Amino acid sequence: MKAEATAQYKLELTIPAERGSIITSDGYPIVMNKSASLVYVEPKNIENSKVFAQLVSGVLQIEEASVSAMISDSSKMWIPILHKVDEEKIQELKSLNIKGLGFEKEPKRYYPEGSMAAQLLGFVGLDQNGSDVGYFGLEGYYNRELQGKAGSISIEKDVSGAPILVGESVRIEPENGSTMVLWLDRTIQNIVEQKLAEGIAKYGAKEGSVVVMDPATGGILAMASYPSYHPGQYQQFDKELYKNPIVASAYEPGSTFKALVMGAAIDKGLIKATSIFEEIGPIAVSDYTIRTWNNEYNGPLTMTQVLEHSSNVGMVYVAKLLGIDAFVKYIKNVGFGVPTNIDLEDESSPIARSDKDWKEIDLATASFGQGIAVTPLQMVRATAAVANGGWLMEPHMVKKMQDTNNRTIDIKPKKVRQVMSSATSQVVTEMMTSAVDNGEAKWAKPKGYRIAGKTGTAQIPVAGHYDDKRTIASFVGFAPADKPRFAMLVTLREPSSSQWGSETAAPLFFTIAKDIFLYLGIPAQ
Amino acid sequence: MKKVLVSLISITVCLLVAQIVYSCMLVGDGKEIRTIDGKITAVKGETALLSEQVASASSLLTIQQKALSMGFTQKPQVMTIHKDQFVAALGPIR
Repeated sequence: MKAEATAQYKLELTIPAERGSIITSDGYPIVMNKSASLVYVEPKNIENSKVFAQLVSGVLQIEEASVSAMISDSSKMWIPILHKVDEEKIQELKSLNIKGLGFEKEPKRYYPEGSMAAQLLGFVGLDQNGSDVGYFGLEGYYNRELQGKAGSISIEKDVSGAPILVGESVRIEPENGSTMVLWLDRTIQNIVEQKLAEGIAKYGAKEGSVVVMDPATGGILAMASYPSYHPGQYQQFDKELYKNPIVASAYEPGSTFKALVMGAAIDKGLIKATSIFEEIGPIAVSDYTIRTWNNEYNGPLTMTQVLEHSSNVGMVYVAKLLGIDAFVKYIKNVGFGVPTNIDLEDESSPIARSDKDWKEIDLATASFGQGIAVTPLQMVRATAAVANGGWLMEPHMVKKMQDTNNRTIDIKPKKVRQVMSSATSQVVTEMMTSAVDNGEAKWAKPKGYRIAGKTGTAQIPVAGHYDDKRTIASFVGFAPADKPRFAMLVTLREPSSSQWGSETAAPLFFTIAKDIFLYLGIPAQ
Repeated sequence: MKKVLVSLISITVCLLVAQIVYSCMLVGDGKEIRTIDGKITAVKGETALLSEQVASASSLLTIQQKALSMGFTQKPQVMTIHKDQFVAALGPIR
């Protein structure tokens, strides 16, 4: 009764807060708000139900029967017809001057670059109360900061509903959401997405992903996966696509892992780049036999050549020198088995095998990246540590946040720990550069650039065994090797043109790298 | 004394009348406030629309489509010259 009485002389309104925009590092919005409205009906004011349903369904593209059903209940004061209708359609409806139709402003997310970076952005949907809420990616992780805080106004009104200035009034201003400035570079993201789509088509892969990181800061310059979705039309896509596989899916890294294992052994002083290993044949480990990928054996090899030839038996030798305890400690140290703490909602990490469960065969297979699961982000972060002098960085999407009062919160790059000495990182860099220059993928390398990298071809585990024909081809590396500007990982799932990383993921890596060199103005030498 | 009393009462009545007139004017201003609020909302809407149009026009998606429609279909070959390289061969000075 009191509330009803108050409503007769008081005007109480909520002033909605505007959701913050998301801006790329070059200053362009990748997510912003656009004007839209809720279209509702006041059934009591409708003059002709049939005409009303025809006109409204025609403009909003809803079935006429649905609109008729909505307006049939005349006991209700008002009924929402459709949320977040674009301004053009609102103007069209207004021009029809339909009695009983009403509009209420409600902002809608707008994506100037279309579906670019969908899986890292996430999307805005409605919660149980019909309020906007961010799901997945940045929208989910930073929902509280982006949504801001609604304000309110309470003022006495006259008989026509206009506010009375001499009456009581309370106005609480809304606090709009913060604007997020990303590390993401719009041009690099565009290059990556285009080349990834072309690469997937060219190599006949089922899925693919590319992540580019600044090794000095841990900032993510680009992140793309395929297949993906459009965040503005997320309801039309399979829910499985909402999660970002770069932070939420695990894969076996295969031979790309070898450079990291080499780093561990060199850092411990167990081997040098020039140490010799006799590759004379397969190695027996427990009840298993480990062979090279092509079952060819090259005799005496330096450790650099072990990487160049991607020798599995050479890596088993290195892992045995390390031993299980040191190996397990090292892989934990470089960030495998725990989330990286990136500012994206959907991050998860494959659970690492417990220390006591490690057997000799597990150590042997893990030395060449099989039997161990990582996320693409964990892999590129560990490789970036080789590029930056041995420091494991915390990866970040957001560089700074700007609130409505123009206060800026800088998110500083965070060094987690040093995982190898600077000297070791230089040695591993040279070994990886040599692996590119003399390895299986040397034909695709852009001329005049020093690129450190490693190919990988991991078989996919299916029902307890590995399927020879189904592989994840990958290439991880950084460039320029002497002063790295970016570290990048390319993965292709089940490429059909060739199962090998050297013939699929590596050329795709080099194609993307060439365009990034051009964009960043890095000349060939 | 009587004159003073009459003056005070007159002044009080005048002030009361002025206050009533002023309050009435303020009550009437409510409509004006509503109109101004409406204009502010409209300007904000226009600003938002302009921001949206600027973002749309400067997006890579739009630029790419325009470039393609203008016939920029092939990427130019880029040759890089290292800083230690001369752009032309140096010959003997004559």
